[in-house]
Amino acid sequence: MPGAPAFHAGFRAVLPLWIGIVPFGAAYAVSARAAGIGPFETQLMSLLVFAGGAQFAAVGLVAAGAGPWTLVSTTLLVNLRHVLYGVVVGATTPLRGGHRWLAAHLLTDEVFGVHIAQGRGRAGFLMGAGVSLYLVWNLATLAGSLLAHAMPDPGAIGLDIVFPLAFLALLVPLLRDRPAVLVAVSAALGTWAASHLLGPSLALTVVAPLAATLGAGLGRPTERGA
Amino acid sequence: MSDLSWTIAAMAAVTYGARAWGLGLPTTRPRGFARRFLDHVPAAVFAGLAASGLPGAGPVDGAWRLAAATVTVLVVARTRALAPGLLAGLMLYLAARALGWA
Repeated sequence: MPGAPAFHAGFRAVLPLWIGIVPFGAAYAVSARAAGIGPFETQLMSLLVFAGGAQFAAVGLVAAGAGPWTLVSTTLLVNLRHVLYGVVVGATTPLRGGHRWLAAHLLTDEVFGVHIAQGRGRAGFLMGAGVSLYLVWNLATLAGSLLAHAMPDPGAIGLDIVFPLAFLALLVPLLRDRPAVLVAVSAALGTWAASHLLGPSLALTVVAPLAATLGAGLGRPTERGA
Repeated sequence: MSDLSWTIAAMAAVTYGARAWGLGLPTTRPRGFARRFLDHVPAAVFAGLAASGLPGAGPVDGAWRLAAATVTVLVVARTRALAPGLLAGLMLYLAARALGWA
């Protein structure tokens, strides 16, 4: 099949992140069940929404008795940054027909990160990374639903650090020149400061474009061949 | 289907819409300022995601998380590979927790 090596490379590239994704997928399911969400709806959210942050937010809102409009509008707010991911991927990776439709379902923070860092320009890589994450997230959700009483909170055992470390690891190869470093530092400080007012997701949605605009004014990052 | 199932379907629709909208926007390869902007987006996003997840529960825990982040950065800068850097930082932090230091 054309693109199979790229697909396999993308699938493998996400494997190191499974360490963090498995406990968080399970923790999502455990918290959803504790909030009174049935096993079918718990799994349905992982299958259809496939966005960890939004799913955790939804569980909290259901537990607090929020209505459908609050759930949907919060999901939109939390996932607004995905517009930006789509723009970058669409501008750098040729996606045709079914690939474009599938990519729109699979484009999470982690898939975007791994694709841009290691597979930019390769549609097969994007699909492999997306399928890898989709598979493990849904299996972890299923395991969490089935073993709800035996699952520890990943934050309580320190595994919540996997995601910030993974994004740092993806960031390092991009820091090739002064504008890129300034963009990263301003985005980090800006997001950290704005999180106190807006929450992490909305802070990132506001700050990341501002930092990228600053970088665009300073110059272009050193080309990485894609 | 339950009411919650329909709500989940609507949540899925807005999530899919956000991603699909972005993917559908560029019709030609952007140039000039727009190209430079898009080139800088990944670094801005990764730095923001790392910064929002890194702070710990208190100064001691925060210091160990910062130490783990530093180890990850140094290992990735040397090896240019994600997995060794991620594992080195994670092992340091988990060891500090196991020893009761974090």
